[in-house]
Amino acid sequence: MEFISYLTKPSDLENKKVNSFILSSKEFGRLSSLNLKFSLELLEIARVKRPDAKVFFEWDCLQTQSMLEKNLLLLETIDLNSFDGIRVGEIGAFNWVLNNTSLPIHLILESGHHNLVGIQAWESLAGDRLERIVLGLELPKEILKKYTTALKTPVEIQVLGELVLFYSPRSLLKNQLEFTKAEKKNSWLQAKANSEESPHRGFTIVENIHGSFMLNPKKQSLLQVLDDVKECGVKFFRVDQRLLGIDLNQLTFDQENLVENLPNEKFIRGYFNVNKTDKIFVKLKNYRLQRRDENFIGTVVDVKKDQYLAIKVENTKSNLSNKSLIEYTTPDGKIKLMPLRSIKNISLEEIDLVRDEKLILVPHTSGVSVKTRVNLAKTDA
Amino acid sequence: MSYSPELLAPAGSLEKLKVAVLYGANAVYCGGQEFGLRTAAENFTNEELIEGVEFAHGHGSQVFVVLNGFLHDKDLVALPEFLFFLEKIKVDAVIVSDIGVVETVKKNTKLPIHLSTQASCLNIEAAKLWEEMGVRRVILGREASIADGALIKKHTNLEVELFIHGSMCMAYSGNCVISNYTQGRDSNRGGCAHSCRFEYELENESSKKKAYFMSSKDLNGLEHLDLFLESKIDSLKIEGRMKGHLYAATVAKSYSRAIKEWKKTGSISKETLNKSINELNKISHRLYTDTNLVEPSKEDSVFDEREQVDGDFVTVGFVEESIPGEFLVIDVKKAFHQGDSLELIPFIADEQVVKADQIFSLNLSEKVIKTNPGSLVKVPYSRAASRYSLIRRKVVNQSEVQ
Repeated sequence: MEFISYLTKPSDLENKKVNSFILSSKEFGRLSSLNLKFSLELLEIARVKRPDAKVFFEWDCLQTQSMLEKNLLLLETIDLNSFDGIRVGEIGAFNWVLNNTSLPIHLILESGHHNLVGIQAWESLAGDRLERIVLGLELPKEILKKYTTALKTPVEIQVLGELVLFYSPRSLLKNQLEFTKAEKKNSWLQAKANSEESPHRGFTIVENIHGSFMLNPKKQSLLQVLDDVKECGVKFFRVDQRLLGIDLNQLTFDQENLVENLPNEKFIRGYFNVNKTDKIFVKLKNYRLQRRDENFIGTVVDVKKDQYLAIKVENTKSNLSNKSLIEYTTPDGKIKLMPLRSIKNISLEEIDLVRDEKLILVPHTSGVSVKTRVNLAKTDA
Repeated sequence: MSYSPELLAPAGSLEKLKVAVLYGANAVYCGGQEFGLRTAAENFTNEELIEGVEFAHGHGSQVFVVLNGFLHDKDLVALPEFLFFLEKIKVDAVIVSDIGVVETVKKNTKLPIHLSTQASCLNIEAAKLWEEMGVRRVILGREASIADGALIKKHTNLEVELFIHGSMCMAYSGNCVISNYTQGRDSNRGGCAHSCRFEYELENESSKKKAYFMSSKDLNGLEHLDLFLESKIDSLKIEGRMKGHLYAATVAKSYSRAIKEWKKTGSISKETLNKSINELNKISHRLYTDTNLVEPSKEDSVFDEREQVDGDFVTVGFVEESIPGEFLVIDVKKAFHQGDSLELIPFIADEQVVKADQIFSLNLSEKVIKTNPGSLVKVPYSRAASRYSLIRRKVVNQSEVQ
């Protein structure tokens, strides 16, 4: 069980449970408030105070071409080899690091990686350079276990920190509220937001040079289930204390200690136990309305009581004739079988067989409404 | 090779596919029943996909099928069968956001792969890597500019697609999970609850206010169309699979008209541009912005309101059948009355006013005074109308706006 955390001030180094640190500057890290010069000073301090500890450079901001070019210029001023590795969270940065450095890579795949085939594809591309894969918080423990078993590369997940819900490149706070000069100068604006949708209240909104972020009102903590996380095969446990308002050197990495330090915060495990966020979709559709099989003819598009049903013929190979047996499936699932006695084309001429007609009129059948699906009954097929 | 820009329109249903193609889209994108980002939408059954591809190809247009959800392991088990089907029916490409899906498509088919905007490909380095991974086209993140698109084209062999019109995510696409945590619905698999469009009470130590601070204005790139074309952007994408027929027709026609003129004359006249701008202003939309196309987003790209700008017109229906010299059959979407002044929207020519003097039931047994949505009626034939032509009328009161 190896903890990794963010290095934000010299005293963070005093926590001896943490053996590796992430140095994130506001130029390269999405949620960092440190300027690059200070973060490089911290690196020097770390090398002296904690020679046993590893320090990794973080580059996880998303970046358009012009932002990437600016960052590449800035990187020329940094000796990346003085770090033990580099953490990348954007595909362009990943490619640049692969081709322009020889540093070990920690690949951050926290957003949008929900299948092993994909994660293994990146693993294979990076080859021996890949030292660690950082997986997302929407992966439940069964999946984590499966992935850590199948991957050659050790896996890291966050075990304490914020749940970042939203990352926008736009400035969303500056024009909305009043901020002090210091806040503006530091490029770090922060506010609380309550949604009109009760009970979603207390989101933290942060605006910095990378844009705006929304954080979940409840914080994420797996400290109570660290053994379970370990059992999943996860090797590295990340603690992101930066926005929690707690000193790293006060943390002992157990839930009781956390609650003592942050009595007003609520913590959740996120989707570590189970993730059912895709279960609802099957309920949202009326599958009865869909054309599915070879007996499909079309859909009822107009009804005139006691006079006619208009059918839009959607299957031009249906061979519908005035002797066919029809199966109507109404939107609420009722099925009616009806022998056809008459078919008229849209010019109201009687026809025996439907050929290229797009609309036909057939005798009215009670209980059949618009959007009813029309099939040839199977006995007639 | 000569440059032939593609106008790519959304097809939320088979009907909308036909409307988009007939009103000028060179290509359409649509979703099957699974694997896409609009899981709860109508989407296409396999049979509808077959018909949609036949129709589009018959009119010289292409069909791209979206597989752009961030798919789970179990989805990848079911995916190959759908891919075989798509290849068999000659779909022109698949739109993919997930490297696992890219790998699955490559392993099982020869279908061209377009990288979805969901993957937030924003720079040359990222594009090069995706090219290496086997994609043919990148649909750039909406944060990329036209100039970024041109640079990516220059430094890779990729086709480049950029959004030119429609609603915008405020977040980097694929980087929003608000719905996951507030609604229990995965926003990257079709469950987006549009929380960014809600009103929030914002508060810090010195101030407090209510605002729709996370809602974006709608993209409208018409005034930069010449720059898109001069930069040889391969595909100009219109957002909006969930939007209605009038939107599909109006947007496709407005851009198509201007592109055709540019291809013919090398420029777009002020008259054509104004005509298209006017038409786009007539449909419901949030206030328009050209954000990111030329300059990065500014604070004024936020749409700090709940309600959209109402359109001037509503679709009353479209022509379901046209019997020359006899009658038109109208599929009624919104009620209209005998005597109403309607506007027919031909596929290419200018709009035409038609008067609904006579309306009949399909079997001519009744004269109809007021039509009902969801019914079909017959009206006298008009030469300007073709099957799938849209008919609209001026809004009477704002509550009826789509």
